[in-house]
Amino acid sequence: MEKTKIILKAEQARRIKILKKILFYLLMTIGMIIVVFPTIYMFSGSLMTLGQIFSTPIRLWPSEFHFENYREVFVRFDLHRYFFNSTLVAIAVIALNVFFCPLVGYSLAKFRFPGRELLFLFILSTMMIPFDVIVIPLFLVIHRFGWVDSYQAVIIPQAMTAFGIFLMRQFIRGTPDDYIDAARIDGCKEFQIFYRIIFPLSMPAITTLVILSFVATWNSFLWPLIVLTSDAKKTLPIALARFLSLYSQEWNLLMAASVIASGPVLILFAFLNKHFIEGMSGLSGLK
Amino acid sequence: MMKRKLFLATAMLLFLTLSFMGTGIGKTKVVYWSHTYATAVDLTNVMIEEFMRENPDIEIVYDHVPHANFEPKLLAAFAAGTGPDAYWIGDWVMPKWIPFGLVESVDHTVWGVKSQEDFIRLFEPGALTAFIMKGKVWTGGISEYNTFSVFYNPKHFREAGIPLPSKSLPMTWKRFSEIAEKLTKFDAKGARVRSGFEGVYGVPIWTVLLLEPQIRQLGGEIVDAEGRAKLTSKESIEAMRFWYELKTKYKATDPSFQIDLLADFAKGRVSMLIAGPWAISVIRSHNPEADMAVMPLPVFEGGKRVTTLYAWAWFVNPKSTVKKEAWKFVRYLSTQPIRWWDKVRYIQPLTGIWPQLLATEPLLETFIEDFKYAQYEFRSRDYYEISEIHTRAFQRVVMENMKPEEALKISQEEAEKL
Amino acid sequence: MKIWKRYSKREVIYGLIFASPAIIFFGAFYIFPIFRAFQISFYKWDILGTPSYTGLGNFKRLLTLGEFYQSLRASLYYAFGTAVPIWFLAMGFALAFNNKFRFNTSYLVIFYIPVVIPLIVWTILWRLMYHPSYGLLTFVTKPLGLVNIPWLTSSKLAMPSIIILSIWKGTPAYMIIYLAGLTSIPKEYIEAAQIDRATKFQTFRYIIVPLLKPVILYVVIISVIIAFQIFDPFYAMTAGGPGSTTRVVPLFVYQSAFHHLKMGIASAASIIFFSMILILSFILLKVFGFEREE
Repeated sequence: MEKTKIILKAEQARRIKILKKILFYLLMTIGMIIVVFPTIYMFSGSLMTLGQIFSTPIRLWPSEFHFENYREVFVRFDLHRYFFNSTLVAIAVIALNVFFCPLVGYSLAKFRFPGRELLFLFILSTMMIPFDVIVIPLFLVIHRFGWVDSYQAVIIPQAMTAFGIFLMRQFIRGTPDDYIDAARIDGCKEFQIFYRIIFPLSMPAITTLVILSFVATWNSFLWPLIVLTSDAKKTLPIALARFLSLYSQEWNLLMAASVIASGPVLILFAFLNKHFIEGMSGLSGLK
Repeated sequence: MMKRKLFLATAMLLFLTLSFMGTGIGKTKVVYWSHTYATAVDLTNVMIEEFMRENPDIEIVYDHVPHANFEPKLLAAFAAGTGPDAYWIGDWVMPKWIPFGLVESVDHTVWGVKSQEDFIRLFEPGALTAFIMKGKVWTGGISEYNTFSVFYNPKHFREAGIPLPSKSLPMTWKRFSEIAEKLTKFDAKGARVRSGFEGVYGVPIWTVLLLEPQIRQLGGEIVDAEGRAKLTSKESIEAMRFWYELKTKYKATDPSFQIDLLADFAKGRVSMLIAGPWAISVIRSHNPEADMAVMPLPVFEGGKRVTTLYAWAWFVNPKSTVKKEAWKFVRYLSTQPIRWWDKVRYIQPLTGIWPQLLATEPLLETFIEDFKYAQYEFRSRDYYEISEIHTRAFQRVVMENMKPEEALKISQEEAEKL
Repeated sequence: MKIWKRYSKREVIYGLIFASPAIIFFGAFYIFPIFRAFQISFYKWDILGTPSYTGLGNFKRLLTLGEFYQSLRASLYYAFGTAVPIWFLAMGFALAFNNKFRFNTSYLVIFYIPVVIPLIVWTILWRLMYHPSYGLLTFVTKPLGLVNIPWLTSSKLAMPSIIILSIWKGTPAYMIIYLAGLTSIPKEYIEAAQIDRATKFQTFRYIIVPLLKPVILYVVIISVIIAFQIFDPFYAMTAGGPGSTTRVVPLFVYQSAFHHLKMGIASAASIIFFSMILILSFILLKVFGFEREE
């Protein structure tokens, strides 16, 4: 009798487990749909004809798929050039950020020197000032360097961000000191400690930094708009904004253009995340 | 190792900089900026090519920026001492930009005339008044000359049994409200499906374009002789009351109902709107079979007939080092009004233009009538501040149903602090 | 010179060396503009003419201007209305995604999409959705009998409407930061807690939160600072309306600088705004920030 009770209980437990799993997936899917609702709208809008988007009754999903919208956007807009520029700028900015932000974050997190907190506060405060007030003097600085309408003008001011430095500082703060102390006792040089220990340990943070930097620079609009004048160097968001003005009534094309513009970041994100999630299980302390 | 990396990085940077240093050595470069407007951009590009063919020693570098970012970009460039050699901008900034030396007095010799007075005579009488200050003419020509009349959908009128209005005689604002009420439709659940009228309620320049003629019709002005706002004048309150009743009493308009005014009209969601001649081609591009007709801007009973007037025009930067060439280019752009009308639907008031335009677009008949009673917007260095304050009052009335006296009182207090 | 007793020489030297890129960078690109902005706040300057000294005139004017207070209030409402829900939602989702389950990556990517879409486009999407008769939200509101809801033109609804779309867009970004933090927690700690029969909530409260404190602090402060700087939806969707209810400080500054050409006022407003954010950051630091490493 006892035995059957135990077996029954095990059965119950298993069923509850499966039920829990189903519930979880169900909730996640529903949650996903709610969260992603606007995005679905954008994708479906990009495949409709103009007449269908704002017609009554309101349609969420197009009856036929008009993929030609995408071709239309490319044709009208010569997106290749803008794509190239945005990619070039993004790669440069990410490379610079990945190099400098962890370095500075490390120094602010683990080294004690006079003026450290003040420096940190100063870096932080650069985030608190509305850009409109800085834009004209910053433009003057760039003008004095002779960098107006150049790639540097867009890349260099984004080489380091207060957000990135702050992020790295917080993550590295959470890293136990033992590794660093041990390495010092072993006679390692400071820079070696940085790229052999700190850097690898901060991989999740650095991956996040890459993603966030990419998003920020890929979508940055106002500064490139002000500082770039020749068509050959313009970046994607500027093209998108023009699209907005030029074809402000063609919502379907606009949505297609947005899908195209958002594509690369998502691909990068998906790619990085695979590594991310694989790294998740592996990260249990290095030696 | 580090040294080599550093060297490579510098080399790359140098290479990148040099490779983008730009070509075109030997030609005179003229930089021209405009805001982004599809058909205008296309025509400009075509004209640039033609101009460069006729003038092989001049190179035109053209950049266009979305409307909202155009002024900031111009101002940032001017502040740094750079900026385009030629550009266009609207008439309302003249009171500030002329004294600041951002525009150059016109070089009439490029047009082949003997004096600035002769230059003025190239245009319809009164067209250039906004651009004449201190006895000098500051523009090279008007690119866009506008007044506002009423677009309406004749099909909706016929369905509702409303007789089609006259093309030349304006109706009263009261009748206008009644018609708008009749044309507004709700569905079974009470949701609005069509508005008799919609206007632009959140953009400062539109506020002036809509309210100022009304105030003037009643004999008032938005500003006094010194350029200070008098928003609580009885004419101002009266004009605002029209909008108050249009929303609350006639329920003919609802600011939340519009997304894209011209598209809404083209698709039949809005029966009437107030706009300029440029709207004709935009509406047609949304819906080539759109039913549209034009009637004159209504007037108040017992009031004068006044309509609005605003223009965009071409200018040359006084700091430019290639002024002669810039004026040459501006002249090329500004002396082909038929093409601008054809492709972009911009009216350019060169002398004797009206009959030529009317021949291609019969809808212009009413606009031409309304142009006769058109007056430029008020001149003030505080144009932006006052129009923004006025817009806030407008929104309080039309979005929050505040009484006009109250809303304008708040605004007048804000304006007095200027 | 003998304060060196508190610091180890090596730390100071290498600390400064590693921090030097930031010193150079921010020095070159930010010191001048920020100093200029600070300077200009004491002048009247219309960008194009010559500045004229006005001492504290701009500050006096702003502090007696009702509209400026309205802007500050709108900014506070928006910043905390957006940031606080994000703190919780981002953590919740991060915890959910921290488990290994099928389609984890796909869900994550889909969830992340709103972050990637440019704010301008996101704003337009929502503007279409908020239309009282033809927008997608009517799918939900009409069955409930609600019609003609003025999402963007009512003084009560305008700000919440913008807050909603901001939360929607911002949550995934902060979620991945939390997720990164969660993955840095060595599995052994969690396993140890499970062996000790701790409930999920106890594990969260006593192990995860303490270990994540630096990251939590980051999310809390950054979300507020960023929210204060947001501009696009206020410019494109409501233009600060109705009246001044959504006229947040960045919009106020933009209008003052580029429409009114009153750079002095814009700078002074930015300084006041900046001070407010600084003070708030300090308060948040005290509440959420902790370990003073010495």
